[in-house]
Amino acid sequence: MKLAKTEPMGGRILTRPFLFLSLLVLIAFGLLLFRFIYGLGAATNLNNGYPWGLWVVLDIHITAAIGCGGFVLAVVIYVMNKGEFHTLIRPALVASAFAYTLANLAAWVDIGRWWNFYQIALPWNINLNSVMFEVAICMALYTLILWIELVPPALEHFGKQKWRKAFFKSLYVIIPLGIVLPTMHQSGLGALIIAAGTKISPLWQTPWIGFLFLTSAIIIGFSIVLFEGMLTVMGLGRRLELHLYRRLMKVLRWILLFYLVFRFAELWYRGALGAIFAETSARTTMFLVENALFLIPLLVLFHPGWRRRARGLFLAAICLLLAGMVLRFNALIIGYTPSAGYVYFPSVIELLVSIGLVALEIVGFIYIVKRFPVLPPRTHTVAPGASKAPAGMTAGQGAA
Amino acid sequence: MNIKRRDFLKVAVAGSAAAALPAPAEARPNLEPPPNAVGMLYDATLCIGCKACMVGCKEANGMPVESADESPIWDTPMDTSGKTLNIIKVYRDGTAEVKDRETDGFSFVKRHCLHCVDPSCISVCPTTAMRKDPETGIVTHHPEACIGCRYCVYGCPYNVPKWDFEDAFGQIHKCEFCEHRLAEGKLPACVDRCPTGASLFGTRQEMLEEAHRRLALEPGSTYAYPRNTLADPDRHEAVVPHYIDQVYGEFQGGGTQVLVLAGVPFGKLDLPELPERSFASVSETIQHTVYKGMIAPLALLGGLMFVTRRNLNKDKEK
Repeated sequence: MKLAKTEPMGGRILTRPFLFLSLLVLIAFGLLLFRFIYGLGAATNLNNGYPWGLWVVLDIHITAAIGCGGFVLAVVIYVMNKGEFHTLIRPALVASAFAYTLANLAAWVDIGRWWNFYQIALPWNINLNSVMFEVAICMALYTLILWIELVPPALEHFGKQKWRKAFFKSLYVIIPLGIVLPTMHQSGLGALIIAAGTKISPLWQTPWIGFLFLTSAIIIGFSIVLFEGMLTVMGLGRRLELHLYRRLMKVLRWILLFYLVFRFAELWYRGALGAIFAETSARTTMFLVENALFLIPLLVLFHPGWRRRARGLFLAAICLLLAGMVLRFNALIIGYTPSAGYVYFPSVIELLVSIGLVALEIVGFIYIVKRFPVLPPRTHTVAPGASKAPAGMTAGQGAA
Repeated sequence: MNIKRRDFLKVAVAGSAAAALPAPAEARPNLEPPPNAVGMLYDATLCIGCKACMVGCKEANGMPVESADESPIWDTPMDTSGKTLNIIKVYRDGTAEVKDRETDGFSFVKRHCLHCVDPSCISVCPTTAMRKDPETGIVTHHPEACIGCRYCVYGCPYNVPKWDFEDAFGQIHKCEFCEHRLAEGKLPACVDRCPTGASLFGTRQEMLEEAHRRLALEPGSTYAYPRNTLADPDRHEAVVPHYIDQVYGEFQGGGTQVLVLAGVPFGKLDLPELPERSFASVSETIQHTVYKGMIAPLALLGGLMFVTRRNLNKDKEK
């Protein structure tokens, strides 16, 4: 077990940005109180034409996809055995754990009968035909796994070295679970729309939508590792591990190429390609935006000059995050045809709650990296040119 | 390096089976209607738009008056909702002169739950709060198990289940075929109140037969239309209209237990053209191909445990 050296960043918690973000969190929680007292109808613009809105797409689907950094890195480090990426995993796990916790919280806030949520876990209510049942159970379990994966830094923080060693013996069960569960529910999140049949435009309604959601979640996982890494560099003054990001993006570009080829081959095979140009509507425009956002990073990541530059990688990551978001909005809302006469645009409360939940994730992340050993120490780095550093070079210490 | 890659590929192969691959090994067919499935035939050409069925429905189900006005005098809902389970809507075109004609004509349509033979709402419900009676085939909702996720609202091809957004502690509402009245030997309230026999009650099989009988009639001839049920002797003579030559609900979306006849295309009446294969069967085929006996996920888990353990141990040796 190679372990990258980590230490708490230390420093003041209550900085000005931290307080500002905390204010956003407080506003969101105040509004949530309003939602619980006066109901979904009063707090949101949801209606019986659009029963799912911003909270479902942004705070559940997209937040869970953004939480895929830990999942993707677990595959890279433990399955493909690239131990040198270990410096990235702890911050990615912290971000993932927060993202998934918030996705679960958002699901609870969004369900109309929140006091009845436990019904989904009662054995006599189980419906194995329901994609949502699978998604809900897998997401809840995976959130638990993510926090379990964060036990080591907590034990280090509290100085329980013996427990920590014992914990590492269970890793070969915990880590695979942390790969299988997201594989299941990230595809399930897409497969939710299959039962809606022709209510979803053929641009998104396909038996392969689950596979597309899973693949795009993996793409988002890579991108968020880079995006959060770069933000940590800028915001918290850490050293940029450009060589690692370059190698991640080198893998990513092939997944991305596969995704786009598959996406259009599948549309062509199903005879749905014509639907792109059959009309000029918000729907077709959003389809083009979605796929342009996948295509631009592909060009950047195959461009010999751009793909080596931090700016190029950052641009690619941002485009891909947006692409994954637009795909989810498109498949669930834009591509959805309600019965005549219904319109939907999120209410101010929906927007502020969503913003507050993102702020909560950032605030939680900052607190944890400052107090717990998550980030590599400031001095620790590998020369940026040494992108082919053999495995183990970056390892500060052995675990066992 | 190569060995590791090979390991990875091995896992990837096992895993790809689990990764939402919709290879329909054994497609789950559409569900069949129960042998004694109840049915309703709504003949839009007989409907005079009196809305007596709406009043009856509200009484029978204890639903309040609904209106966009501040202090409503009449019940004027715009759609089915948390307070309205049954509604008469109207299609209008141009001068709207002639009833049951597509151009420059109009038609009424009665909208409520069609009680699908193979319902999406039951397939999607994560807590089995939507159920289909094995005898009658009536689709019922059970709020005590419902978490309010509104997947049934999202998934229903006919946009039938409705969440009561006005109630902070609301629930899903939909027509339940007046199950409570049937238990007392009464007719569904909408059928009971219908003065023209536009809504007819019987078994699904009887309703299908009656619908095809009407389609075979010569337009312009007369037919003794039944009221309430086929057995009821109280029939009335009327001129046979030009029917659209299709029984809506016989095959659409896997079939429904409420069947519709009309003089204008069903698409104009908010009744969508659907493939014969139910969406529930499409979704469940994919779901159960991927998760059959949990073999694929467990194989993936096992493969990953093997590789992870080896990689962890290798690192330890270094």
